Amino acid sequence: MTLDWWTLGLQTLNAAVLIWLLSRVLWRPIVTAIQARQAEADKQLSDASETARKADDAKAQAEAALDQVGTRKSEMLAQAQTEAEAARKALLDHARAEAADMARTAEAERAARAEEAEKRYAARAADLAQRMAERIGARLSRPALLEAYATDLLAQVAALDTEDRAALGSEKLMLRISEATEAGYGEAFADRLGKTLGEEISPAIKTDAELICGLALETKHLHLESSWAADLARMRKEVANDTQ
Amino acid sequence: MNSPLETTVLFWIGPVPITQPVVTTWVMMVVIVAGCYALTRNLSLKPGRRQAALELLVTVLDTQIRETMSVEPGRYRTFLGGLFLFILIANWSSLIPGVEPPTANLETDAALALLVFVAVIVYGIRAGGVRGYLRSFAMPTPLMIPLNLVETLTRSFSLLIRLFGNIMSGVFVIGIVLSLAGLFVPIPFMALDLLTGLVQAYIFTVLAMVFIAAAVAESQTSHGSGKD
Repeated sequence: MTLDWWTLGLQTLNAAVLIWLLSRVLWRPIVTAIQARQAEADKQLSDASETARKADDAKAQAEAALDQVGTRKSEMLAQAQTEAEAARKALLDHARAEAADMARTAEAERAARAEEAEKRYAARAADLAQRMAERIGARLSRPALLEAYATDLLAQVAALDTEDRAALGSEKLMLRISEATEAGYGEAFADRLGKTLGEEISPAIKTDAELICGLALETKHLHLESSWAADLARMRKEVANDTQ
Repeated sequence: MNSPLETTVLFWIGPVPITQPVVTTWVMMVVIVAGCYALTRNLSLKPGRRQAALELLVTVLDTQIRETMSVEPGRYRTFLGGLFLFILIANWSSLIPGVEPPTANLETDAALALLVFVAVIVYGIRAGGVRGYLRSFAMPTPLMIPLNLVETLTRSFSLLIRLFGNIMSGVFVIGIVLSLAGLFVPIPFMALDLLTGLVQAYIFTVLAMVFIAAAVAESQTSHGSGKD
């Protein structure tokens, strides 16, 4: 067995050349591609890391903004509650004042209506009393009642002071009589009046049914009356005064 | 059938005999380089199946180097990867009818072993310098210098003999069976030869890794101790 040294040399050279060629056309391109992708992956990881960091920063900013919004919201809520409380209190005070005004107005109206009703009832009572008095007066003895009123009128004349009594004698005098109970009753009363005054008088005599029962003396400046109508009027006035 | 220990001279270039293994190797080189060139064109950031397979090959090779030699694979990838591809494709070329694999020839295996022998020396010197590498022969004691020198020669020789014996025997067995039995009988033996070719390429490459790693580590150790 012998070695062919030429073949050994050529094969050594062939293997070395093939190894060198493979390094150029196989290993280097593949390794370059792997390294390029690795670099790209590193870059993308770095970019992703940077993006994540920015996202964290943005998130932190957003959370800070949210906190500020929350604080502002709490402040606004507190302010709104304060304002609402003040408005509610103002509305309540206003409503209470209005209610008080309305109550006072209602009370005044109620009092006015009660007063008006009382006046109305008093007037009706007075009317009723007057009708009752008229009915009672109609059932009484008219001559006796007229004489009582005549006596009272003479007493009033007697109670007059001197100046008024002189006026009764000097001025034009009107005698009104409710009804002629008997003929010449007016003249007879004029005589009794003249005796009371101490001088003779001749008044104009007139029948006045409004007096119901009684007599009245009238001059230009003096009015004396004693009648059922005057009593009723006085009574109505007193009732009215009592209700006020 | 020719003896596996004999080489057929196809032609002469001057005084240089061009034997069949040399021509087969040339054809194989052209096919390998053209194929690799075609495969590695237009590589992109988004790999397809072709590029993924190529990158897987590189990744597996780098992982093997890293785990076996405990170093970064960049400096050793070219030599060891080229060695593996050459041996593998040379071994599998026996599947082509009429082609005798170059690795079944003693000179080819001797050339590969010679390359490993030189590579061990080059990488050892590059790791620890000439003095560091030479000092590694005296480790752990100068008494070991003869044994270390013999070991350096014999382990390269063992590479040569192992690869030559396995591949040559496969070719020889297939030739014998083919001459005795007929056309289709050797097919199981050829399938087994495929596995043998892959395993032998792997073993040759891994042993080369181990030898280079040992030389690098010892040279670095000697270089470090020499400084102390």
